[in-house]
Amino acid sequence: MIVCPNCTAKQLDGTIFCTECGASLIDAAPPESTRELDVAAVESHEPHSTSSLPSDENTLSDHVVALIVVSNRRRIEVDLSDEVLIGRADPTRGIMPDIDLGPFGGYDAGVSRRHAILSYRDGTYRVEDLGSANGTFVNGRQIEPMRATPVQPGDEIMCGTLLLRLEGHQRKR
Amino acid sequence: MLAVGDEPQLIYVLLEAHAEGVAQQLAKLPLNLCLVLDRSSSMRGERLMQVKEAAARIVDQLGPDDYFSLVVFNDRADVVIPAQRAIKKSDLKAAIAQIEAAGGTEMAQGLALALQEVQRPFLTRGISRLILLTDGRTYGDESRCVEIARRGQSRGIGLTALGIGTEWNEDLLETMTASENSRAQYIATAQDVVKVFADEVKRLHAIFAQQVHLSLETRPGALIRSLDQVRPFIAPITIVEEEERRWAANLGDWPDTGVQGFLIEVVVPALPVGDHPVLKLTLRYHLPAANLRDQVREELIRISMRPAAEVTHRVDATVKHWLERLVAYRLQASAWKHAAEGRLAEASERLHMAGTRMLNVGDTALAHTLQQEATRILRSGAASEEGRKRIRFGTRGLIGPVASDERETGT
Repeated sequence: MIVCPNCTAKQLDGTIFCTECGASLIDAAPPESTRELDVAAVESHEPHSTSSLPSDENTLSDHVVALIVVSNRRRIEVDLSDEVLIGRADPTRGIMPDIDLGPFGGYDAGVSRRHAILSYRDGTYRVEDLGSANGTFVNGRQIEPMRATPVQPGDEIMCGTLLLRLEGHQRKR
Repeated sequence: MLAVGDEPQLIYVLLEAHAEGVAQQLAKLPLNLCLVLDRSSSMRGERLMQVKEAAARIVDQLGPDDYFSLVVFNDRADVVIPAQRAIKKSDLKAAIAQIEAAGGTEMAQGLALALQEVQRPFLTRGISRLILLTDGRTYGDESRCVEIARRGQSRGIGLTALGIGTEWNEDLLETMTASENSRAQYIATAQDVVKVFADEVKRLHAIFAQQVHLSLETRPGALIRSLDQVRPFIAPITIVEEEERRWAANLGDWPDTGVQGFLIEVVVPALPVGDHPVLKLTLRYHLPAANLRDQVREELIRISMRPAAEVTHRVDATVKHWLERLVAYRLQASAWKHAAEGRLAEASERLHMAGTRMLNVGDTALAHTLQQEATRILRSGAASEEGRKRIRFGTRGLIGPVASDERETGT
């Protein structure tokens, strides 16, 4: 028996695509239990975390946002004190993006290993496609690669076919 | 080669068949064709012009042994050309040129008259077909349309239903053509009409095997989960378990161009290490042009069970390709079902995943349509008419003109 990593439906051994949700069961993301760890591990290993050392509640500001994976409503907290790389972890090539979409079906959705950069400067959020194979879309429109495109909380950012929504941090104003 | 385990496993069998040797030298079978054309007022202009052009081209394609008839319908139905041999071609074309567009759409009357007409010629052997073209919704007589289509199909008269524009009812056309020797196709632009018609007649002329029948016999404990046609286009096929461990399916008539491909999902029980026959496939068909009935080809499928450590899991790229297309087709079908039940989030997810599958098989344009409609369905509660048709027929490979089989053989 295989458990689909995308929808947790039980599938017969040998199944190539989940009969419930259609997700690929080969080259699949690691099973559910390691997912949470992956995300946490990546976030805590951010190489540039010096500027985002544990801050107290008051300093939480606009540079903390969240990306919602629309398909399963998972929330990824992102600290934009420095720009972050969105992509898909590939340990053998030493690519460890700040936001690893691998556990969220990134492979299936055509997310590149180094897909896009999300940044926050001078009061503006920006997303820049890094020449990814399947492109980055903001609110359904493909953005030009290698050019930082302004985005706002509420906007939909699609990497390949993986739909994310940018949300501002819910904080007490 | 599969790893032994203590649970049942799913295996995929890709069956590809093509004509070889004697089959390709057989004479053409006579064709008995009836065109059923919508001439409601919405057809006025470019559409009707292209359709008339296409009908005239068909007349050119037919030989002296072929029969041709033409029925038009709006609120009522008329026989423009009664069934006759395609000999006085200029007369036939002159009659086609007279057709004018006006009125509403009542399809059942047109179909009934067409079925009548196509049954007039007496053919000891040959291929009888209705080719229906419509651009609108017929109101109130849908169930009659299906009933007439079934009556024809039960007598071996297939139906090719072509929808043009975005107004026609794809549910109806798909239901009417859910049978062997029948299919629905989406013609996105009027300029494609001539090519789609011509391709269809070419395909019908190429038919050499009729009443192809597949029987699938499994080992004890095994189960056929599904059988779908994947080449030249995707179509689910009804399989019936005729007796224990023996399934059967009708595959209709086959042209000698290109490959007929079928994907079979078989559930096999836990088996010990060793070689095991799991499935016996038997194709049975007639070759009317050679006066040969009940020709038989058999194929035995074996699997080899090995200890898990010796087996590297590998997926055949060709199987994966066709399976991926099939999965996309199934996902969109389930999306519309979810949408009809008001479960929009699920519908959107299914369309998204179908997009992913199409992206993987290299159909970027359709993948983007799927993404757009997935988003639209979440935002506005419904997909667009055009998007829905593109998805339903695109995932099957039935947006006309369809890529020729020959070209697909290379993939």
